[in-house]
Amino acid sequence: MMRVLWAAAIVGGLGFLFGIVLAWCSKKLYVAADPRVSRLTDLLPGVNCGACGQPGCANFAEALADGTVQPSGCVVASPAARKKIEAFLRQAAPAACACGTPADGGRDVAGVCTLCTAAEKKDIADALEPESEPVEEAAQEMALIACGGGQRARNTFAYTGVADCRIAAKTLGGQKACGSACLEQGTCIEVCPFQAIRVQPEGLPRVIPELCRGCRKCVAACPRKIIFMVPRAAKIFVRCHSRDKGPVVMKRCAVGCIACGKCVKACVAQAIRLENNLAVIDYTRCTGCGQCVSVCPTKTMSFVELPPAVV
Amino acid sequence: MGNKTFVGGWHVWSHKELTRDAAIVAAPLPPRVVIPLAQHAGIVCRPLVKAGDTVLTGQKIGDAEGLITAPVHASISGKVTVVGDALHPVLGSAPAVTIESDGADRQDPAITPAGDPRGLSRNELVSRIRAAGIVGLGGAAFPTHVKLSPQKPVDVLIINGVECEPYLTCDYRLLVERPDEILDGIGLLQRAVGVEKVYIGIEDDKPLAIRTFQKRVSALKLPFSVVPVEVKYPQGAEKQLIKALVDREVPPGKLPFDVGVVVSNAGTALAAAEAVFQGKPLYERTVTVTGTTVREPKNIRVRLGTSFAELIAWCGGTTAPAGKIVMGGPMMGLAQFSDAVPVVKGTSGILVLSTAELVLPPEQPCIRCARCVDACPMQLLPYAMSLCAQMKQAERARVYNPSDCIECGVCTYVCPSKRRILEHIRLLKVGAK
Repeated sequence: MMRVLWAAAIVGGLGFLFGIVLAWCSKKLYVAADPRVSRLTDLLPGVNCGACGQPGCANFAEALADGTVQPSGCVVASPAARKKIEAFLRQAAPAACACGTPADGGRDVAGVCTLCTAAEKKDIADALEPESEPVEEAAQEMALIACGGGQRARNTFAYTGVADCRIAAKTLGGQKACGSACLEQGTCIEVCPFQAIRVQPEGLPRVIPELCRGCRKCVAACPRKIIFMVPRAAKIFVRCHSRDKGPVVMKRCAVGCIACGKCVKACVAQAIRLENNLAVIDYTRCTGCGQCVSVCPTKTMSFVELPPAVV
Repeated sequence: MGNKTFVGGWHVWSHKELTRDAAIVAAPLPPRVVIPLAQHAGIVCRPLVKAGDTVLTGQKIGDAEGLITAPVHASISGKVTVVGDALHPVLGSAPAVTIESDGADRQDPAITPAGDPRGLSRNELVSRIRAAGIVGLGGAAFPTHVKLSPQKPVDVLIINGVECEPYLTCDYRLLVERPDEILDGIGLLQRAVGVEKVYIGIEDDKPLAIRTFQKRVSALKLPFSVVPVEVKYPQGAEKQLIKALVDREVPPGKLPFDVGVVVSNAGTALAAAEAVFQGKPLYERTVTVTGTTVREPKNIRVRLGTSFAELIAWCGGTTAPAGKIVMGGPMMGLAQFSDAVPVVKGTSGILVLSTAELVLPPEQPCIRCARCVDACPMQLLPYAMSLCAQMKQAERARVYNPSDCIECGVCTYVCPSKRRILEHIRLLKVGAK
């Protein structure tokens, strides 16, 4: 009988001791977590693309709560989502609640002050409540790959190394005769967190505008620096980034811009100009009428929507 | 107890018998040279001439401001026809000066012997070496005058006569044929750096060179020690040679002068001697043109800017169509896409491989035999990095320090699964940026 009591006393005593230690720890080692962070994380796109410079959306949310970054730092979020984040930050800002109560007024989990009346609380909650449709609106910019070369751009040698553009570009300057030609090893496809870049049958990668969220990861990864951000409304793009003179380009590529100037003349909106032997579209003026596409002798000008295989 | 060496490495098949006994011959004057303005590590030169100018042999045609750079000189006399982009054996395409020869090879009158170099101060020596455009002739083409002005105290000068790359014999021929001039050059470098101890490392598969040097050094009573080192690739790599000769380890990311050592190639010492004693700028170098299908493999003294095609043709052409033309040796050399590329300061050899020699077996899975681990001269784990690269896990590979890899390629050479280990490590290196 005594044995049972001893055992119970020891186990119970240990439990009591551990309980005291745990209670002490929970008080002394408590890390104050900002209740806003979890809400902000929910409001962010949640794809952890890293375009903001933070490792992931949760870290960006923490930085938002600290006030070290602005909501505009997330380029992937749609304008509506950004507005929602801004509204949340305004209302949940430590300075004062939307109802005017100062920072020390005490708050509930959503960061709404406890002094608000129920009606006010509901208004604020409505403003913060994500609509039934989660944040999936398109970003304002998308990436486009300014090369239409592919098999029509001349190779100087056969590249047989590791399938990575960054290595290919270091191998004697890349296997293409043109210094700004796509090397077709798929590094942009690999880094895209949204699977928005696909390989065309002819070997060239192409951005699918509906899937691109404008995170610029491909822009940073491309060793040739031929991926550019254009307004989402862009209808036409120049599939070349070679600044070489016409005759040089013609020797290297069948699709390259030879700076003939036909598109400049054909453009009714005067949206195209020639810069360093390359046609450049001013997207604030371009109406997408397609006149330039029809006159371009090398088919450098192309519609964004159509697959580029319109040669 | 064998000769001195480092940990790791591998005895690779050398193929040096093709040109080992071929005395250096001068190539005929090329009718046209293309002299790239980027022949060295560092800042690219500005051209000092324009199309239509007449230039003389040895005339300076390009220079740049800045520390890490070296001027370039005309290698023939004649008329400048083009100043613009041209093929380059390392960069693919780079600015260059094209000169059509007038056949006379008139020397620039500015080239005059310096008189007694013993009267020159250290700074004068270094500035002469810079003016002559001398860079490391082993292949990396790092400007020599920068090496000679180390930012930290240095007590050892190592002369690299190892030539561990298979096929190449140009340094060996220089060691055998022109030992006195090389020793003069070493003396100059020694004074320029201001050190007491000088080691001359020569691989022990070159007994004639070792004997020649030991004899000359003792006959001239020079304070140099000639050290035979074990035949092993990459014995001639800077860090490995330092480890073998003076048992110092260059820490990751550091340079030889951080451990008090300056390393210079034997060919560079010769060029320095020519520059100081004769005032001759670096406009020619010795190149090994070799390969089993080359009719007459040779060691050639050639003017910079001569095209590879011309040199191969002068060696009798090839018996079979060339499958690959490599600048340098087969281990670290660069395959070329055109035989029209010019010889530059860093061209130590032109290796022609036939299609039959270019069998590239399919890559097999790693069997963890650890041969690459044994062979790695930097004591890295190449197989682990290779696997990480294949799984696209650059982050995970960071613990294996891919940035310490010297890209000698010995891991790929020894791999029984024919894995392209070095390519995978290079992928990690560019991915890390």
